Amino acid sequence: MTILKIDQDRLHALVMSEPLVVAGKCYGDPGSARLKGILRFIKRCARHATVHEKSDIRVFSLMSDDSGIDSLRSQHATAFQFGVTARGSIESLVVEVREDDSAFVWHSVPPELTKIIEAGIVYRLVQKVESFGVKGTTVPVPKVVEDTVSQFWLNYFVDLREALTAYKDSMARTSKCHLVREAWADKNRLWFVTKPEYRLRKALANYLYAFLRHDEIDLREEQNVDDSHPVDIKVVWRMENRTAIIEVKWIGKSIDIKTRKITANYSDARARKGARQLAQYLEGHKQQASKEDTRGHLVVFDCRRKGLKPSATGVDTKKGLHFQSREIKFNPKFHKTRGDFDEPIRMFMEPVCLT
Amino acid sequence: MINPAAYFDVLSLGERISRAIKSFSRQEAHLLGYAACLLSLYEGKPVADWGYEFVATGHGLPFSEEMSTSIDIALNLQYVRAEGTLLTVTEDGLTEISNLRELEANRERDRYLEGAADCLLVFNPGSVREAFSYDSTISFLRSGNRTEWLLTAPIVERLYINFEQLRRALTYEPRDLSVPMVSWLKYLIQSGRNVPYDHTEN
Repeated sequence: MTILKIDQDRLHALVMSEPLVVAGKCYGDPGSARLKGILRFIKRCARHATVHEKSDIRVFSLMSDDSGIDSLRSQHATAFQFGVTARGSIESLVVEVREDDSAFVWHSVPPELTKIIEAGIVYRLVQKVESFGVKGTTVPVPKVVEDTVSQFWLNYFVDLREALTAYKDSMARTSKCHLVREAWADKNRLWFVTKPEYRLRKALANYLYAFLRHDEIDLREEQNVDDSHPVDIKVVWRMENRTAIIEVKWIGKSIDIKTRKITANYSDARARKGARQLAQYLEGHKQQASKEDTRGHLVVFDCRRKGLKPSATGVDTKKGLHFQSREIKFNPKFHKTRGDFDEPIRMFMEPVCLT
Repeated sequence: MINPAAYFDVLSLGERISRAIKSFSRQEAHLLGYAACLLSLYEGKPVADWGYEFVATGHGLPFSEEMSTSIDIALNLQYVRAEGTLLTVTEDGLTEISNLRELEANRERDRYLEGAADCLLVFNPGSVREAFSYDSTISFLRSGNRTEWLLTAPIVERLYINFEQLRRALTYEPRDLSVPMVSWLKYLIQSGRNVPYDHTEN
């Protein structure tokens, strides 16, 4: 059996740059406790509010006693009310979290307070970059959940369809995820690379793995319904004897960017073929596990552009977004005729339009 | 039969997880129960002191039969109830856990549970799952799709060595055990993903 062999340099570098450790080393146990107070505030606040790419947030804990602060607080700050002070999407927010976890929103920060804030512990979110300041030292927060605005302001999904829709709107549309970006052959997002399936599937699976919360859930890529028909992602809710099979297809064109040779050209017929395959998978699965509640989901990544020639390097808005709202006509409509077939989700992936 | 340690752990973790991220799942309870057990090893306790054992399932996750039974008991007693698709500790359950925390035997235990559950302030549950999936023992068993005991003698011996290295890297003795747990999980994720260790260069 393999046993974990520690890479001491990696461990040392990681520990030295962990905000909880830095705060603990700087202020002892009260330091890590106050930093956790900031994180608790964020988690609680995130139940009612979200952040976006332009959110500008500071959450701080003062580590020094200063009687002048009380007077400033009464002039410039008010008690933070969860679900009231910050709801929906946050543009800008400055909050103080005190030792007893009570929070105050500062409507303006007087200059004399700025230095005191910097000397304590400060969380910052600016342009998708998060960091902690501990006694003037900035400690960056590495992205564990990749391609998200924040590591802490996260929302979870308990419904698979909701999660898929959120992925479509927040990640696929503008290709935010690095794996999806790697699926493109060009920076203007006109063509996929040859065989982009792995990246598209992996990106979606990673997202669902991170954001889908449910009692007793298991998520795996590439499960086999039978020997000849692999499915892309399988989600099992063990306590409910429920399974979701996700079939991922893409439509549009892939290219060998060096030779400018089109390597695949898939129209909406491929999505219809995917629907038929999924219906077959579901039927096969039903034979094997008749008592299991299995539901199929077809996800179609759509990178179609109108009138795209192999020599093209850019596209205008009209051609680039031609297919944006043109839904695929499925025939037969398995999502209407089969009770175990969810309505297909087409994820149109926008190009960078030049005009 | 009820295992008092597992029963306490389930209620305490359920309450702590719910406080951090609203509600909890069985899987999260098993995962963080295992993390708490690791923290007791981090402090040099014998694995036998934990009071119950874990297996690694074919799904690549830690699982304890005693915790599973305790969840069912807590559900029957209505100390825990289903809330949508997750679980939540009821008002009666909160009173029960508050009483149990008063017991001397549970005080030290609760430090380990707190250290484990508070890692959810830093990571989402998916990332904790991912971190443990890179644990060499769990990933070895998962690759063979096998269910076997975790924390056998040779594994525990190696973990003592690993945690001693972690302790040395920390260079101070935090009372708050979420500090070593968060560091350990980040290490597992970074090394599992093979991320360059100087993240400032990313």
